Amino acid sequence: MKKKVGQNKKQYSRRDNINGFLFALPWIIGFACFSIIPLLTSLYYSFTEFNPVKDPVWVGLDNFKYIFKDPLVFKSLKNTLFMAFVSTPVNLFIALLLATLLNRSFKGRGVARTIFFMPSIIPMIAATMVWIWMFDPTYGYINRVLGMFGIHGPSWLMNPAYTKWALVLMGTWCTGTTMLICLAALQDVPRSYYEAAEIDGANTVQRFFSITLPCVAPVLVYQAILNIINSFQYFTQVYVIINASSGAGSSNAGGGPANSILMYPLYLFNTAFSYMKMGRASAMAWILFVVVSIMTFVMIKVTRKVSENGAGDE
Amino acid sequence: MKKTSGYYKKEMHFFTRKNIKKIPVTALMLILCVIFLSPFLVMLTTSLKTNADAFQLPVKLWPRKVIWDNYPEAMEQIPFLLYFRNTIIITLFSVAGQLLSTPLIAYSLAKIKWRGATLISSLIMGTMMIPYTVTMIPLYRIWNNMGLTNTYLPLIVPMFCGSPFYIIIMRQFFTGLPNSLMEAAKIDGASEFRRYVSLALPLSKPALTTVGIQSFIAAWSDYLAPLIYINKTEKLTLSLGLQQFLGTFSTDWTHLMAAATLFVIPVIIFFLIFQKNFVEGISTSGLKA
Amino acid sequence: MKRKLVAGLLAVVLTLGTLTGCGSSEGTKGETAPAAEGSADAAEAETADTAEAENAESASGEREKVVFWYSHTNEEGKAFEETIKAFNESQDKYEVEGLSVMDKQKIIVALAGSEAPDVVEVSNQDIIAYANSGLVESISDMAEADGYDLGSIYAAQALNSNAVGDVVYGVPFASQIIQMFYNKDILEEIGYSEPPKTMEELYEMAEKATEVDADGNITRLGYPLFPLASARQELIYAFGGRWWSEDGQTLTPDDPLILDSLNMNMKFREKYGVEKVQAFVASANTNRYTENDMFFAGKQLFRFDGPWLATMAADWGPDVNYGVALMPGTEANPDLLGSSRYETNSLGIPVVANNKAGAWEFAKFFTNSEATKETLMAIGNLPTTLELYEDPDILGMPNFEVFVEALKTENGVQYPKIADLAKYTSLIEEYLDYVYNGIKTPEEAMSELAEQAKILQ
Repeated sequence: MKKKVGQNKKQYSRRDNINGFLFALPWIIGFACFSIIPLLTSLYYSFTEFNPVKDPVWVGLDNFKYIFKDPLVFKSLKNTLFMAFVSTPVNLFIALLLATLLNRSFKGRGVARTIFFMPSIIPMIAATMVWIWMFDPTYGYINRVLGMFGIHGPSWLMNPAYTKWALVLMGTWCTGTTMLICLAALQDVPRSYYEAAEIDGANTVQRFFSITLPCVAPVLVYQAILNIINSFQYFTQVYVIINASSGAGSSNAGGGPANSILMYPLYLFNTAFSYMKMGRASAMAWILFVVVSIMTFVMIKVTRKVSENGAGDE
Repeated sequence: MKKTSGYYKKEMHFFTRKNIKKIPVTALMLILCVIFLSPFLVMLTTSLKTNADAFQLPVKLWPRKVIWDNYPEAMEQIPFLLYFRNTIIITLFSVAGQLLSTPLIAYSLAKIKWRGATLISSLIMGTMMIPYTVTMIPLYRIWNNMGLTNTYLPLIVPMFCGSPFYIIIMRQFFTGLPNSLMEAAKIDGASEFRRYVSLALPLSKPALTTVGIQSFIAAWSDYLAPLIYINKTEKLTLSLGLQQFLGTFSTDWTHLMAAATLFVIPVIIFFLIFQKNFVEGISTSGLKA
Repeated sequence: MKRKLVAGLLAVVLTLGTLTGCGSSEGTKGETAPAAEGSADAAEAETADTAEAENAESASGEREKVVFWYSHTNEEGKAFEETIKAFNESQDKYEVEGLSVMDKQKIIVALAGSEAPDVVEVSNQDIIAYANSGLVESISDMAEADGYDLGSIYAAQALNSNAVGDVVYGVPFASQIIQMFYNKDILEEIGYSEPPKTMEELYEMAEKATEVDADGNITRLGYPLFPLASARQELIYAFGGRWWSEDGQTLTPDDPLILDSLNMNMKFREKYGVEKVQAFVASANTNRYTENDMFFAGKQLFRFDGPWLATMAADWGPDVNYGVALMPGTEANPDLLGSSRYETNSLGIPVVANNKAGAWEFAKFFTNSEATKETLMAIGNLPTTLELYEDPDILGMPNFEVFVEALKTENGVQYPKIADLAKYTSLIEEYLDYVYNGIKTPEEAMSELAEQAKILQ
């Protein structure tokens, strides 16, 4: 902290510096203790092997060598990437659709907004359990409803071809936060743009693509980034689904049918707390961290390009 | 809101003229509402069924016979009230922690012109990108070495250090407060802390409510952190306790749904009461971040 | 912007320099401890704990506290509590406190922490995993010090399944094996009086018993494709197929007998539609062991399951008229009769336990006393001690005669004690799922699995 932070144009008063520091102290402590120190320790751990009762022993690059040979790492990475790049666009599409529908005046608008948003505040574990129940091929409501339209629904959580789509479906239900943000973005689109377009004789669809979409694009991209980062933390849902199908306690750290819902964080959790390879799990975590950082970096570059003014990033 | 209201009026006018156009949209809206509500409905109706009813074909949404007994029974199958109390304790401390620290930090970033403000702001954005799994193992080891697993400290203490999302919401709010007020107080010789306590805080009630509600729901629903740190049966939270219905052998779906309903209800009530703050908070943090 | 960022990073690094004051001291502790080989920090944990334990002792008087975690709940948990009570009354040195802890991950975490139990009841596979990680004490050593001859008390396969090399790490309490339950009424309906002795016979009966509705949905299942775990294990073992070689060192997913098993499995699935079969199995899994269980509801002819099914049938399916027989073999290998996995529930004593002497006394009492029989009978589990193999009360339990007969053959299949076992089973399940869902042929799947299994240790 003694070093000068850049060449500051403004001269800060000593008192302000002290006050500012003191006010921000809780965060600084938290940042040190819960972010930076663990982050660096984790890096150190990734070159060691240990478990809850054994202290770390340096093993060099062994963990990384193992990880790059491990078929389940690639499998879990593939599954996670599926969630990131299939589920995210689907979620954004649904969120934008709902927001567009809500962005007009009609009776019961507030109620509809509440209904669309409510699922995303429900504790994940409760939501997941309801969905597991609804996905049952015989007794579940989803196949029952599909059956009414003459469609024979699949064994959603049993058939590896459908498990991830089941997760995608579940995800769209919880897209309320993104929807609200899209809605706020839509409301920020200046009304004059639409008026001008209307005079030019543009129809609804044209107006959506030439005005609405470009205006909300920066927000969408930012939401996409957050969604993708969240996909890399996908855990609770699959953990619960797997426990429900195999019985809690008897679960020997599975990954669902054909490991089709073995997500990277779940595999990491299993590696650390079931296989008790905490060093290897740390190495996996760092690989994840690097991948997420690179992706975030790239996507922030993209956002910059999308929005003319990179304002509001600090 | 003010800016846009004119737009709505126009739209309404537009649509009343061409009422027919509205029908497909309204229908779509209704269908979507039903779809989004259905999981709640399924949860509720299943919780009122007997086991035999739940597994009787053809599947019927409404119970063939309404069984309220599932609720008291579910509360006996797991120590529901105990878990409820545990969850409340964690939640209250978490909310208190956030309400204490978040405005302090946000104030420092928005209202004090000091050397570290910009740096910290960008670091806060940075920490949002760190996956929890990366810090999970070292943090677990630290808490474990201190012998503090199986206490609520690992769940509560970090909440006293602020969370990025809430800090952003609060900072946004403080930035919006007029500087003139603060300046006047400064000239009067009020210390920074005094200005914070007597001026900034009372004005920021809406933002504080937002942070409070959001952190309430986050703490109430948290699953991974208790899963890692809490092993003792009598210290479990509700989110972990629910999992006890997924027994080694069988899953008791009707009682599980009853317990899930009880677990979800406080969240829904809270949300409905404070909906406005909630929605605004999310909109600002999402747009301005 | 960039310059600011660089400056910012610099500042972070500098701040860290000061902050790691506390971090590095932690680090050095971590680096020096391994030299002392783990025992050092176990001892350290102990010293921290004994203080606590002493406090508890002085408060409660002369009796020493022993904390026991078991993995049962409800009625079964009550049976455990009864045994605990019996132990507490049988002597006045120790006071055992029981606690039902279900989540395995939590046990692992606890075995490391300051609040570990003194004795824990888990599966033999967990015991092996804990032993490999140095989390549990050697039972062989404790028994030897005590002059307690394990070999003459417990069945050989019970001890083997809890041993790494020659060292036993868990005291076996209950044996877990799988045999064949069958619905007598269905069998009679399709014209048989005796359960099958070979898989070929079983298949014939399965086809006759399977019923579908107008839409092709299966309403009654003949082939024992549920429970899922027995489909992975016993269906394979019945053909003599093994996922690993006898010595437990080589993985053999390309065993031709596994392919035989999978081919018969797929013949059945394809006949009734892969998706239809999966739908039935998925629902069977959703309502397993409830009053709606497919077997209790008379919708399943064969069920490869453990003795607990009988206990549950008494509660959930009193109307189902069933029998138990030894697992079938094949025409080529009729002597495979009765093959199944062999697992135990065992008691392990954590390295970090506070009261190991008390834990050992309790473990002996729990696994080898009059109370053991009571507990086993209450929870419907099979014995591990040679004495109880001959006990008339045990043999008098419904179906136990068949199960004990299977136990005596010592024909149980045990998992190999490889470090990556959990991963291997996960891979096996993955490739079986490909086969069952018609995504890959058995040959393709098993040769790919063999390829993938190469990196496992």
